[in-house]
Amino acid sequence: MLSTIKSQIPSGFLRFAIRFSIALLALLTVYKFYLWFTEQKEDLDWITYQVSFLSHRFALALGIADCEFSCFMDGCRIGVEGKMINVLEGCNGIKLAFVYIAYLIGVNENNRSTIIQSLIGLVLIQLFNVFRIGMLVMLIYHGGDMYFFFIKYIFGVFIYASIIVLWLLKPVVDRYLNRYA
Amino acid sequence: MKKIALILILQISISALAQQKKEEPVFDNWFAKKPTAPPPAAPPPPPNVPLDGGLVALIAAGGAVGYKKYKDRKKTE
Repeated sequence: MLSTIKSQIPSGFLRFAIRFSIALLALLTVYKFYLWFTEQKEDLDWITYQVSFLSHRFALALGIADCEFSCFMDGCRIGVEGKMINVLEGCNGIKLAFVYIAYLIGVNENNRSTIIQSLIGLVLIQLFNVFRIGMLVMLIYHGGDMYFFFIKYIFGVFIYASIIVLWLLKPVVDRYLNRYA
Repeated sequence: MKKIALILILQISISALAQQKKEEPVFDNWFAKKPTAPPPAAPPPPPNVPLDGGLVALIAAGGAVGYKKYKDRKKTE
């Protein structure tokens, strides 16, 4: 029975699964400690604050001149009075970046390429998140059903699909980095 | 006759006073809680914009992509 299952598992996959799980657990544990530490200081975590701050700036750039920005211990509120959104710790997108990086560590074939791709992925995910929150502030400001449609379907599907596409494109990016970087 | 009229007037005034007493108490109960208008409802909190709702699905997708990668590699070998 066990040998049948073992023969079905491609060689190297088990090693990948272990590395992927350990990397993800390690990243999430460090992050949890960081959150606990900021909570002890009765402060908001730096990542959520920066994402909220940049989103506010982006909303201002989109033309919402009277867009307000206020932060509390649990998160930040962005928008016009009465039409605000709440950016909490779960909205900062860092956990998605951790899953993306954990995969890269799992299939690690080249340390330099993994580090470069991890950094690029982290920055891309955070930039997309800033864009997403800025757009949501604009959509809630203008009202209508578009806000619900975008938050429920468009942005979620786009970011998750993008991460999967980045994973699938990893060999191509690896080849490019080996040739030019 | 005068006596009857006086009694009638007295009776009418007593009953009128009794009616009035029922509607408006002479002594207000100062300690009773007077009915007041309910306070206006607090505005609903602003909506959250979570992004990590599908984290488990993404982890599973990572596992699936990894499985496909190693399976394809096995085929090419």
